[in-house]
Amino acid sequence: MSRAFQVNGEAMIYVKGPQGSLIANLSELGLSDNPVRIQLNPRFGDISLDAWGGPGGPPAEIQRKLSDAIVTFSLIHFDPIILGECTRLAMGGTVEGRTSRAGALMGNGTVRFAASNSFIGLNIASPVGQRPWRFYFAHLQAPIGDYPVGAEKTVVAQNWRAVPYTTDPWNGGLGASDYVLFDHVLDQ
Amino acid sequence: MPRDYQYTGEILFKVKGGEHLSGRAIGALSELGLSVGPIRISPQYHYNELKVDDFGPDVPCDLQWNLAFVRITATLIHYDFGVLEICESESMAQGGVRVIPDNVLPTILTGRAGTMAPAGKFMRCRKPMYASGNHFFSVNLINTNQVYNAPWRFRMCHLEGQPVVYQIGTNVTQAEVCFRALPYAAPPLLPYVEGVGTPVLSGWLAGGLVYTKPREMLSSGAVVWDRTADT
Repeated sequence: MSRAFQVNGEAMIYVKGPQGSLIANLSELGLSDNPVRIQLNPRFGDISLDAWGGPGGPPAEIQRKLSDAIVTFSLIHFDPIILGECTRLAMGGTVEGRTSRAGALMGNGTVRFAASNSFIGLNIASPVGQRPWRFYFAHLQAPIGDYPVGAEKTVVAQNWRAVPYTTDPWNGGLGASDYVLFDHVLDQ
Repeated sequence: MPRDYQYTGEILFKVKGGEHLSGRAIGALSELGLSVGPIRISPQYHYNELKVDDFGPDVPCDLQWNLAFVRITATLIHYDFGVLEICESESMAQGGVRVIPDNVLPTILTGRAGTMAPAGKFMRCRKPMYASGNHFFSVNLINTNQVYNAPWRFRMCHLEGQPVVYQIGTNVTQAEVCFRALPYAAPPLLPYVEGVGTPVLSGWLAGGLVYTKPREMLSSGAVVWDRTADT
């Protein structure tokens, strides 16, 4: 691919969630009033040496410590039922507005889209650039909404986080080797 | 080996116990779990100091080597509670056993984990590792780092001190564990001669042969750890 202006196109946001939920099939969440912002956060551990200035100096080497991602947007043309379902999965209750018990696990040791796995596949379309985004294990995090309700249009700020969830951190001795945090293929 | 940063990678605890646990957790090499942070391996060397008048009262002129044990401490976070319970029970000289299958999460605990063996019961009785009635178990630290692929095996272990600290509540339950590895010396056995002595150990443990009563424990060649994992 050669160098060029990068245009994503209209970024429809899709979500897909656990079996038995209202978003068990790929569902349109909505459109943002501004660009969708994707922030990738690779984590690192610095290795300090006394010969390199100690803990106060720059690291002589760095260890990778996996990554997460933050995706933010403000929904302006959206399906409130789908948004309500994403909110329900974040809070963990049986209906929107209710919570799970304290300490309940989001992934529950189950695979993607299993009925008891509350993570959501967050998908962002790319009709022009043909480079969509798919975050495998995402969830709404605080603050959810900041709902401005009134006579004017409601624009709902969203703050999503994608994490490297796994059912088995040991992974046969491979750990997080080649773990997929995101890719560029939409869920079906 | 050249000087370099030392990095072992992901470490998995595995444990293996005695033949009396056959068919249950740790009767075969079993996964115990993963740690939330670094695993601390702390050998404790012991010496007798030899003093001579000419060296004064404070500084020895020589030392006698008096073996070592090793403490292994970690905080488990992704672990098999059933396996850990068996380690606790074995460390009490198998005072309590669970009467329900280990691979089934019970709704009611009907076992006797937490019940102690009577005071004075031997943990090992001079039996070889993994023999029925030997309540020590091996602790293996498994890693698959391709560069430093050398597991740790602590041959003869038990939980000690503050053996397990559970913090229970709504947060994920972490288990702070403290293993002690003692030197393992295989009991010296004499081949049985017909009509001489009393056969004591036989069968699978003796490779099909029969042995007489073992002699006293000797420390020569005792192993507290090696770098070959159990199978």
